[in-house]
Amino acid sequence: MAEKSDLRNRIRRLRFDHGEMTQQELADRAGVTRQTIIALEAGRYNPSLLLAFRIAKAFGEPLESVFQLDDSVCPCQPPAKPA
Amino acid sequence: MHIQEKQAWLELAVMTATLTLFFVLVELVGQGRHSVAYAAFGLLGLAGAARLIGRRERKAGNVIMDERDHDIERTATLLGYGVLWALFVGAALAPFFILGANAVMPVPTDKFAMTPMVAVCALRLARSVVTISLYRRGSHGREV
Repeated sequence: MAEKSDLRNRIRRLRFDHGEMTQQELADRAGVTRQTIIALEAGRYNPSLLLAFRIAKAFGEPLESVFQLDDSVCPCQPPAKPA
Repeated sequence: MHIQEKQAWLELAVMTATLTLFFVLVELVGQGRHSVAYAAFGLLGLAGAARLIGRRERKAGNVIMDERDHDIERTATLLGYGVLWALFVGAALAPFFILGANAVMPVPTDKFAMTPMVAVCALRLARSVVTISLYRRGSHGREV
């Protein structure tokens, strides 16, 4: 829980891009406490899928534009497309 | 500071005070009157004040506990029980290693009867320490 998160996120950037939304405003929209938003921004917490979707929805952005998996954690390659 | 962290600080203070007073009383009242030390557990009533913390936020309908707080609560409870189990195993094995395999250890029954209360205090103490440390290790930055 306290380890560095395996997910990178753009929450802080997106807050500023959305009219300097405060952490409390985002927390209210996502239905969490401000401390959780702080932990997410600091990369100290991996959100559940549900929370990740709620945060993405609060910004009106697709999930993958808010959260990205750290490549060093999972150097996964997408399956090759059939020729 | 999150409400659960404030409650953990209160619990830590109450459990520390209770256990300290208990062991002081056990030493002071001497053999045969250990049950007097039960009075120390009256302090546990103060832990009930934890329910008052965050009352305003609850009334205002704010989010009090989210998934991260539940994660912390779950981890703290698991580690608290882990500490309790370690203490139990340690206490069970210590006489064997200290006194030897064939030693006889007379334990007053009133002292023995106190162990569940002490165990509950130890569990809650460990739980509050873990809760505080998990919140401390998380970020507590200012509003940005």
